Amino acid sequence: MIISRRHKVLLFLSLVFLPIVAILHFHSGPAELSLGDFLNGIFNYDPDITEHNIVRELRIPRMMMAILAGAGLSIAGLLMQTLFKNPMAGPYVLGINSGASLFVAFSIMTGIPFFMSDIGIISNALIGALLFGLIISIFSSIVRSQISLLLIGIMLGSFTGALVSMLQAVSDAQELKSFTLWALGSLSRVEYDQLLTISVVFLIGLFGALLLIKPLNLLVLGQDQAKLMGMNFRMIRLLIITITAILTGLITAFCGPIAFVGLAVPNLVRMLMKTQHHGILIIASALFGALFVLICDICIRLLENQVNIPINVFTSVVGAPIVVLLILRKLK
Amino acid sequence: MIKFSEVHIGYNTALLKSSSMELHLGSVYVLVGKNGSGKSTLLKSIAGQLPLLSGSITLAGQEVITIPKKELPSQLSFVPVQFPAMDYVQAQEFIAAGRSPYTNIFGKLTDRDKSSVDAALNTLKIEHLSDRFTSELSDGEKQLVAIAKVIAQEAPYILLDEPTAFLDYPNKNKVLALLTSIAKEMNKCILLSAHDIELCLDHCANFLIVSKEERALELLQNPTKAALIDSAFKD
Amino acid sequence: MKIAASICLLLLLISCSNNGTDETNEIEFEELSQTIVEDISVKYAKNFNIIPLANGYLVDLIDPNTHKIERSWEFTYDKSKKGDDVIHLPLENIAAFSQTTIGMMSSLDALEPLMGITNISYVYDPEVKRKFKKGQITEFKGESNFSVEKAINAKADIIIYSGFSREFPQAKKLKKFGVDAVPDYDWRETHPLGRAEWIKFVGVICGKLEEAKSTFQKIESEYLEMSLKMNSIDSTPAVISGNFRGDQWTAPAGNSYMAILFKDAGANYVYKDTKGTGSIFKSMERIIIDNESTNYWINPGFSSKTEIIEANPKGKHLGPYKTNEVYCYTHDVNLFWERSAVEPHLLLADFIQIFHPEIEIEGGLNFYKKLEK
Repeated sequence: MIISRRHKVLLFLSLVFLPIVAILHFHSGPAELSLGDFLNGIFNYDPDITEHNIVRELRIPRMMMAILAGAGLSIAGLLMQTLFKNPMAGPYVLGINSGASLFVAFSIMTGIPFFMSDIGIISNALIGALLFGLIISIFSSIVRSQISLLLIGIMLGSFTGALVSMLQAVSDAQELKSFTLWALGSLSRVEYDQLLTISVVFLIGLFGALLLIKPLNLLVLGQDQAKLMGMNFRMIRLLIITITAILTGLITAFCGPIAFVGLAVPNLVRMLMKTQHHGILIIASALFGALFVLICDICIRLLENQVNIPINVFTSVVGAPIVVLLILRKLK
Repeated sequence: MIKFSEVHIGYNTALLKSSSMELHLGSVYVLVGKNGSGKSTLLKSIAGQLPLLSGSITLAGQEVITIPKKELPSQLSFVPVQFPAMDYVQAQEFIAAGRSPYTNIFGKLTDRDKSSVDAALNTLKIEHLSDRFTSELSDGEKQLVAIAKVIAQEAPYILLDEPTAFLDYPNKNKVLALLTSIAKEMNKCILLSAHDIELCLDHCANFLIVSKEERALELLQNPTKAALIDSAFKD
Repeated sequence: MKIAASICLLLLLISCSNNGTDETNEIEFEELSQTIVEDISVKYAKNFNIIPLANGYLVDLIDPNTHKIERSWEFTYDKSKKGDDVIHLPLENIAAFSQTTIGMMSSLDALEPLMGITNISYVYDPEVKRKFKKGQITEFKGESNFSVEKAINAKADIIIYSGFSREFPQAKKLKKFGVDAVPDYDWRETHPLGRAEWIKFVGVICGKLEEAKSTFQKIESEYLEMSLKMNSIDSTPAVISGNFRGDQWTAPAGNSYMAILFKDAGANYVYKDTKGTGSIFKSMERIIIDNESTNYWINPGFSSKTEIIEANPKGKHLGPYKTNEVYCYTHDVNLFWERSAVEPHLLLADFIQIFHPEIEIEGGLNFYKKLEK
């Protein structure tokens, strides 16, 4: 497909902006840090110096997590939107997040130490996301209407919400606290060893998505056309859902449920890029998603002294109006 | 050639059947019949999207259902009745999707693919639409783009589900004339369903109808309008 | 007549306080207040007032912000009185939905009428557990899914609830069946002794006001004696309290219950200068910058250091985590919530022993434990 000047310029700009915004993000926070602190924190780390600790233990992991979460969720949203040929689809709307939440709730509230460990929570989030992805895809082959599918996703979300409440009602205070803390969402509790796992899994998801460029492009023409062009729809659908589940589950496990990034960013990207070429869309969604979450997090820190806004609340506050604007633009 | 032998077609019970029939390269066949007579079902069955109840349909001697899914598009192409609704897809990109059976895993177009797309644009004389988004095209232009995709796909067998359905009179004429000349000049076997009997009679000689007694497929060559209407629509 | 007189007195009191410049009134007021001063005995609590009446007590709930009366109840032995705000004594069947209320009833040795609680798994008191085993106590689970029918069936006379939701669910319906609901707002009090003073409120309900007064007096004198000693102490170690919730740290504000306890225990609470009586929120970075050399970490909400790190690994950068000076009550949450409000002197004793290990107090730590591992 055709990569135009416009695409190249926009991709180049976002590539330039990403490090600039990342540095801004790096710079925002209550502690006043000099350039020297940054360089020393990275290259000349002394665990006894507070500034170094802040750079190394707080700022860098938080920035990395913001980038990975934004990129991962946006790619996941893009894949869902293309698979279901529905611009309003996204891991959150379709209930894939809630699948991850339910299984994490389950894993935390069993109180079994393995399930409460990082690996336990990640694997449960992945399984939950995958399971709910499969459920929604089964429904998608039964109901052809886009709205019905979204409604089913919302129903899945409410249903799991109710199940989680039931779990909360029977679990003891300690487990309840762990789950509440998780559900609040956080970009900054991540540690380096976890970041390594997250990065590896993210890269697997990203490369998986890039390998699906051709079938994704065909899916734009519709399921039937794609099948007629020789695509093995069932297999491709399974692959897309697996990749979405990996990305969504991974990020949900570490940051809690973050809404609207996966919904708003790919739509924004498609409008800016004016293409359906998924090579461009995947890369651009990753870049813009990372920018989106970084900027949201910068705003949160700027407002920190006045109000405390959890990341998932802020992305909703910004993302929901964007989505409404997109719908209005579309109707015109 | 497309060959039917002892075919029963339908979802659960046979909607129509054909003991033996052959459709040849170089010709256009028009499928006429009442709504619900099974035109779309027949097209789907030939395209291998719907399993046969019994019998076999072969493409150039090979049974459709045995052709691997990946190879089928280079043998047979299908234009559905509705042009897909989608944003931000340029006409040339849509036509290039016809090359996807031939491209690598990333869908990268080779020079050969690009020249096929150019040739298709040229054949239909729609080079000026190349950079336009398909969502901005008129119905007539959309149909031409859809046909161009099928040309770029280079499959000898082409099925079109009501290609004239949403077109105005001049565009109906244009599309039918185009398809007839493509069949002849590029040696394709084209099967299309349509309701515009008079127009089709102007352009085509071969008509497929479903006989009222046995719901069997029948091939009429150069029928009169009256004969065609009588056999296809009278109860 | 006596009731009428005391109502007049009350009116007079209100008018006097509004109009204190009037000399004649002042004299009269002083004279009158002499006669009732030992009865208006609420000293530290700001959320309630007890006024003795001829055949009982008038209990006012006061909004601590506006100082206005939110609601009044007349607890009376006079069977002939009727009204929405009249509650007849003695109350033989009491349901207590707040852990602190159970603690206060236990301190008054007034567990006999207790017949309802929310959940037995939140109970520390062995006597209550014993009664529950014998089937003399009904579990009502939460306030939110409270069943009126269950309360009537269990023959409750009164429900003392936590008041977190202000109005008790279906209070009007309950009243029709003769069941009253009153909130125990002790948690609204910021002064530890104010919180403990709610024992007098419970005392009215249980018919043991005199015992409540003397119990509170003991608590008060012990608390004041200890805190007075700490006033003159030289070393005031730095203390932080709370833990991360998501990306934010939640800590008690500078005028809160915990902050007062820290001050009275001779500690220097890191956020003692913040405003408010509730909670304050601090960013992760701020906390780490401010608490690098803090000495003690109170109330992380977990009972081991491993759990702290599992919930948020950044906790390891805090000074007290590194020097192993983290204390919490989570090893026995029920004990803490049931007893700490009514025994602030023991709570203070805990903090004094934690912050000043050189001071020895009989009995050792009551609620708190040092976190190991």
